[in-house]
Amino acid sequence: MPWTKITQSDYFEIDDNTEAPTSRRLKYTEAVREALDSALEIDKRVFVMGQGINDPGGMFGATTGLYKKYGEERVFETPLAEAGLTGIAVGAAAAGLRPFYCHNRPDFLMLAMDQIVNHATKLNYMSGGQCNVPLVVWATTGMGWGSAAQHSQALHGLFMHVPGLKIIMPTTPYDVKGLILSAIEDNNPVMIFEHRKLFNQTGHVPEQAYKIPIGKGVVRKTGTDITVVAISEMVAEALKASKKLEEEGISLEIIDLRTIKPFDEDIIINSIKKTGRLLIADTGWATGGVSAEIAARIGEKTFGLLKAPIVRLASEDVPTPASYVLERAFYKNAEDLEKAAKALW
Amino acid sequence: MKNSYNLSAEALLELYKTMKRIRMTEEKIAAHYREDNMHTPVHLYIGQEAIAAGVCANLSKDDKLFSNHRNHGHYLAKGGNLKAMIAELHNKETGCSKGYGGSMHLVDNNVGFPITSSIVAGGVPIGTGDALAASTLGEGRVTVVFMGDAATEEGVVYESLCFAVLKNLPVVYICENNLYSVGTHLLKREKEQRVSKKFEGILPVYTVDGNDVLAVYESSRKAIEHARYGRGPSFIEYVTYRLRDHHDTKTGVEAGYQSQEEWDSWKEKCPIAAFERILSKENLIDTDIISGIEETNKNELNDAFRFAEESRLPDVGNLYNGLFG
Repeated sequence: MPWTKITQSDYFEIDDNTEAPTSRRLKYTEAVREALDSALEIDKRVFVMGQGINDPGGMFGATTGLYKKYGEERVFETPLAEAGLTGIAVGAAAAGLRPFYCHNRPDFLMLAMDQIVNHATKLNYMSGGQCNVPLVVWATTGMGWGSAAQHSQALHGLFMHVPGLKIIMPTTPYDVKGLILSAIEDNNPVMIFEHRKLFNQTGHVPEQAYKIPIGKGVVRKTGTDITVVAISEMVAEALKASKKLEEEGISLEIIDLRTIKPFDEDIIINSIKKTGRLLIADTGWATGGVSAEIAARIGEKTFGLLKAPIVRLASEDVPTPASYVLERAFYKNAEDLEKAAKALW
Repeated sequence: MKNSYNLSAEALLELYKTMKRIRMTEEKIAAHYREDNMHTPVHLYIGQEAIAAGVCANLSKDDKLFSNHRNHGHYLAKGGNLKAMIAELHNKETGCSKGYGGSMHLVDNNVGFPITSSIVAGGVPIGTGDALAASTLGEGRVTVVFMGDAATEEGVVYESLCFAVLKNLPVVYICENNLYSVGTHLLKREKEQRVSKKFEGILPVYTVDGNDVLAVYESSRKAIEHARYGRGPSFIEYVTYRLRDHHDTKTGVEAGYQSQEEWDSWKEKCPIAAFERILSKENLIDTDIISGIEETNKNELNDAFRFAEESRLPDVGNLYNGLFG
């Protein structure tokens, strides 16, 4: 089996009926593709670039064939030069275009750190507001099949540290389409971190273009006992765990944050008012990571409301190992979440 | 009326005036720097004036220039506002970057000076992306990207040049080779001393005397026209020398990394003095004309410094302004 395919057992479906009043269903990657198609259609300034985007595989199907419709001037392959090409995207954005730069792994973004951290996020501020950068950087976090330490890193936490960025981590086909369109429309650098494990799910997606606001979370499941703030694929794990826990009389309220920078503090605080308990589940590392930031920020504001200390569920603080036995120990899943919730209850 | 230099008398005088204005501005900044009214690291352009003057004489306001930490000369030659520049150095809200950028990040959309990065080579891919936008939008303008010799040691320069060629972009890369990366001579950093040779296999490259303003003018004119008419990018190395330290106001000799002999030999090749000799020979300037130009500059500089000193500091309440656009 080719390592870029994910197995049937990794198939998820997150119930989004409340938000998408349509019977039309798309695969997650089809929703990404439809968002890009809409953006290219709506706005002539938009272009899509990336290494491998015009391959028959086209970013797991997210970009397949778009160049045939819009031409290779607007949907083009890049040389393997992430640092230079990110700078080129920054320059093109500052000069009036709207680049969407695709990477099939966040690991490769480490080559582009200078342009993201020193440039894209700084130019408007240090020019006194003369140079905004409407750039979208899209990357897919890998997982499994021995992808190991350099092809499966969840690095969103690194970027959360940097002022001037917005960071989106969608989980459903409906959300990804609406959030991509919001990201492209935004006048600032936006990063989107996808998760491979979510790619094969299907969900409701309206045909027309629509936007979902950046910075707004959504309650995926209402509950009374423990607030679970889940990031990216952990939403699916939390939903799985909640079914079992329900049988044992523990009711989870699951919040899908959707955007981690800026993140929706109100939706978390309102839920804690009801539950008095917070469990944060992230796909990245714990130390200095997204779960640390959420815990600190929410802890500062809800100390008096909490009945127990905030609990975090995150990857072990080691690089991703290759062997599946070690992989299983590294990644947190529904079972781990179930244990953590029981301990907290 | 053209002379043997294929330039009108006005155009020749204009080049001279631009260089003099930059030199006198930098000297005035140096003279006042110890007064501690300019809280910003200054990287003076003294000795390199011919390059900014010669290149920018070929640019219109719509053309864009991407500069770096040593940007004062580039900004002025590109038509920058002297008052706004001096105010920026004084950290004032009337500065061209409203007090958010400082000396190393002069930006002014009014004169095609859109982004200035002080990360060495950081502006090179960004300028290349600007040229991509200009080309995509069919704007007919040219992008000029300035970098130093040390910038060419960074990988993004190679990546940018290759992409510019691939897409046939209207961009000219200007390398000001002043032989030093802070205090480290090129001999200690590169086997090949002709910087442009590194890029020979990628795009048209030239190496030109950067202290000869007419040679700079002519070589950049050709490269800029080449780009403007859709014939693609080129790279010009201008060999020069800075007569002051990497930053701050002393010389490299005083800082301890340049020899007096080396410094003296380059002082003799001062681009302004050299051009004065040419213009005198052509009977285009004399001592009266020179002192007239100096007087004008002095007055303009006094006004600019007064403006900067009298301007307001930024409002602390605006700390978050410009974080997002």
